[in-house]
Amino acid sequence: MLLLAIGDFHIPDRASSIPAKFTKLLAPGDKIQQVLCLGNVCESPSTLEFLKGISPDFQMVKGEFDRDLSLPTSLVFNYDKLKIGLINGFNVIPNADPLSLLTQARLMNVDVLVSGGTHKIEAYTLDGKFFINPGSATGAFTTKAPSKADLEALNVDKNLAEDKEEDNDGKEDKDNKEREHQKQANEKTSEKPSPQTFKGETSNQVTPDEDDLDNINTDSLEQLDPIPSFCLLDIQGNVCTLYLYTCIDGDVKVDKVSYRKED
Amino acid sequence: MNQALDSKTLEDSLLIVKQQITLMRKCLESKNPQFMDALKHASTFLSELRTNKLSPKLYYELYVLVFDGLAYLSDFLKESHQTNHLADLYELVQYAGNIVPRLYLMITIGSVYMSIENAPKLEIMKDMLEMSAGVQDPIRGLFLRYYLSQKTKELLPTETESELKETIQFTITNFIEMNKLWVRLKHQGHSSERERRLKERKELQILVGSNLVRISQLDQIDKFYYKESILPKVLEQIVQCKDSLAQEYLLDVIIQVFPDEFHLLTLDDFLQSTLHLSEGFSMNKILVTLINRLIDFQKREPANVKVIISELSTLTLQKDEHEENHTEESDSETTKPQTSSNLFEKFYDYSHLLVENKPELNFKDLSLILEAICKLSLSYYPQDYENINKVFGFALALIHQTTQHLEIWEPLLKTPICYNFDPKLVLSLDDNYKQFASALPTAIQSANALYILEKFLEQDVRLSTVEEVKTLYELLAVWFTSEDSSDSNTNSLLFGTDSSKNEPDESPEVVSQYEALAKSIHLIHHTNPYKHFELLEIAKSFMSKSGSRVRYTYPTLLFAVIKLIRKLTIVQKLNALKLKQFCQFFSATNTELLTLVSNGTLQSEGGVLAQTCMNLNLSMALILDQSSHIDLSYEFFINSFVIYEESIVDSRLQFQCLLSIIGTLHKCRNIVNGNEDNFDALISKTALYGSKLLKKTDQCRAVYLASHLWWIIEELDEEDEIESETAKTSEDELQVVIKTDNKKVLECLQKSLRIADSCLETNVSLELFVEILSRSLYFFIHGNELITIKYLNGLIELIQNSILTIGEENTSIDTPTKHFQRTLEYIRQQAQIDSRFEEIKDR
Repeated sequence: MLLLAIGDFHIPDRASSIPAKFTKLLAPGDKIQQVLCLGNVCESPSTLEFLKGISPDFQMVKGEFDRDLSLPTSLVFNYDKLKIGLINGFNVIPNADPLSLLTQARLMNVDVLVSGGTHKIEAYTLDGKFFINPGSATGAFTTKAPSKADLEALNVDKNLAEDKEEDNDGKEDKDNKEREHQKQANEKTSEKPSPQTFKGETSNQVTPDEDDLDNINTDSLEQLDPIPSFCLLDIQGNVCTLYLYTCIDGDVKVDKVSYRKED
Repeated sequence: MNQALDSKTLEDSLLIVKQQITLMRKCLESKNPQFMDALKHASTFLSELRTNKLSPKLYYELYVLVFDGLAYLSDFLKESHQTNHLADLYELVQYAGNIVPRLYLMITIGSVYMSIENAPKLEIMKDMLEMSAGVQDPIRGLFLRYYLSQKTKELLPTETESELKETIQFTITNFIEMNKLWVRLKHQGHSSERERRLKERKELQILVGSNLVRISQLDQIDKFYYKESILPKVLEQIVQCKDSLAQEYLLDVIIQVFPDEFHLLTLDDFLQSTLHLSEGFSMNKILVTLINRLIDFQKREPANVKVIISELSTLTLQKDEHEENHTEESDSETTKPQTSSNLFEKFYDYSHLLVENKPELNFKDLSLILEAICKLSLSYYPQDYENINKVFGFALALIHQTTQHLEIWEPLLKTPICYNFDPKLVLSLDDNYKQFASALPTAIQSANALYILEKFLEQDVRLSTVEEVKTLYELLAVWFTSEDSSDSNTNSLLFGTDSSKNEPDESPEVVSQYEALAKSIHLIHHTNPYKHFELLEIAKSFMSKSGSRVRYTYPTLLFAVIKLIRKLTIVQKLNALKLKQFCQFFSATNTELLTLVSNGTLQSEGGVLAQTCMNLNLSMALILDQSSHIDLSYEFFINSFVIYEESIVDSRLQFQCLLSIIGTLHKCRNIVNGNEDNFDALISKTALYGSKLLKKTDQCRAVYLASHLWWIIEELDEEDEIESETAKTSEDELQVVIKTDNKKVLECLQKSLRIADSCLETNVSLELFVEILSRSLYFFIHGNELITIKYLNGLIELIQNSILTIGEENTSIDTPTKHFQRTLEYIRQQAQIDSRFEEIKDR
């Protein structure tokens, strides 16, 4: 039995559409028996229509940005030897915390818990239960702070770009670099770990000059946007084979993970 | 009755023809061919073609049979031409008594004669053509000439220039004569039979057109010869015949059978002649066909088109010089020479001439012609927007003359966007387009607006200048009218508001329009976030005109602002003054949305919209916390709380909103450190809200979940581990402690337990006990020192006692009991990996 887990569209609030490659993959047919929608479709009747076209068995829980109060906040389905729970994720505190999700799975009495909210696709097994987050189908913006690793990857790119333009504003560039050195030094010497996730200074806010503001290019930041993704669950007896679909720069990638429920 | 009579006549004739053909073949196939007898039989069956009782369709059946019969004769003649001298035979048949059989025989023999080497081909051709004039009855004449054309088509000489000339002359003359016969058919018979005659004529049209097909099949003619010697004669006949059926059909044949390059070169001649066509002739079909062919030509062979156009301009220049000497001779405005080699100009000027010269032309035809011209320009001159402006200027002038059937203009309106590869073209058009659009009915405007927008979205066309943003939204202007303030308002004064009735029930069209409109905000893009923000302000100035429908678009606008702040934070270019502007914009917009909730416009939908407003505020608060603007962040938390207090009424929504608040506060990092007092105020308030919820279950859960706000530990991603040497390690994982307050956590859990205990339904409180046990285990695992073994054991005991009190067999507590057992099972499992668990009792 094949199920689709998909959510966090945020159309039109944060994204325009599901990638075309995805809509092609999810064309109406009889392959997918049930659609498990994690909510946050937002105000998009066209998206709902699309989802309902994938399978007549369409199930959805309410996300914090869905404006339909009649939607349930959690759902449980029994398949053969597996129980699957569905929840948006805003109602798990702390959000996406594995231990909290485990507590939630125990409460709902499910073997597999599908939840969203983070816009980051992942799947893992914890204490014999399987946790799936299909991410955001549209790669919608998330208010969650970007990880340090992502930012560092970005900085590498940025420095490369800046090196090229050194002739133009080399001085400014130097300033920036000095600032960054200082920042790193600060981090190393400070006794308490700096709690904020991705900004250099906490106390002295850097306020750039007015005329400095005309030459900002933030195009490279687009790569910080979450990657569009969804999951397919193939349920056979007590085994759930999970296919994780991601769309990176227009190319669809599929990963596979298996979970077997222990008796 | 007529038809029955016709088919009887046909049957009789067919019988005679068949008999006579058999007899003729016998004569020819005998050992000593009786050629003269055969000719007699042929003459007899040919006499059947003299009938005037058959309709063209039935006459054609007869003709086909006769044609086959004559083929035997031709074959025989070809084989035996040595014994039967063809020149003599050709003379001989001139003495046949009746003209129809005589001419058919003559053509049969003549065509065989032509196939013989050294025959005087040109003379035979000429003679046959002249003699054919002897039959002036339209149907008989047409078929006879068709026979002439069929029999000679393979034989016409084309080797030398003069031969070619004669051949063309021969075909054109035959064409002209056939056309005359065909047109004359119109005037025959009683006027009450006009309908039937029209039908009959249509059946015959292919005979006339076959001549043009023949010319087009001559490989030897090139486009200049065509322009000089063929087209003028053909066009002259078409114009002179003054018959709309003939004109429409023949012009269409010309366009279909001759190559595109011919048309391109002779465009002026062609267009000029069409101005002189008779009334009632529908121009649009011909023009649209012609233009479509030219467009396909350009798509297929752009290089070739270029060459011909340059040839055309040299030709035009020569013509101009020539014309200058004869200016006085040009009698009217309409024959004014067209000096430009620009195809668009040609057609555009032509469309004006058309309107001047043909006042009877209807608007539907004009709209189709303008649409085709528009397409032509987009295909030949994709960058020349001025052309399109001109077309719409003209269309605007036309549309002012009428108020009826405005829907016919819709295809023209859509052409620039539908036909062009780059949707941005539509932004470059001048006011003519907008004025033209706004002169059409609202429904059409609205559909066109959606059409434009969908094209933009489909191709992800970025809007990065003030002009672009403004122009796009001006094109969508038809949507930005507030909903009708219906007169039910006066009624509501009298009867009060009936919530079920007054709900603004949007049609699916409106909803999809506004969904697209909201998506359009994603098209707005500028590399500089401050410039980007200015574009958003412009977008808002348009959106704000749409009344309560802003609820579809504003959230997108607000998220766009949030995204900008994130970007500026990352590049560390967040200017405090500018940020303030962002925040003001955000608050003002959000307040407008909230007003819709508070003034009751949206009725039941309002509550959920308020939830959205609150969540938007929370998102903003979190983003500001991440950018270290903790005071602003605090403001937005306070705003969120105000919305929670004032606008969230439904108890389900209250619980959901509270979860969002807890979730968001838990993600904050800077405000906790930067201003702990503020943060504490926020989290205490949150816990308080929890304890004030309507339902005990919600209260209890909200309070135990709020406990997390005093226990914020960041677990670092694996990738980050190496970097953060300074992080405190606890157990196996790397953690950064943001806030831990053992006592407060315990207090929350204790409070939630009291609430659970006060529930009247024992099964409900039991379930809540188990949940609190689970939550306590969470903090136990995380090392909260006040959540001790003793405390956990106490909880377990409490639950077990409750179960005993209610009675294990009581089915109402099945669910919580099982949840409890699952929890105990979990504790047993944990004991295997964490020794601390071993001390927890589980019986």
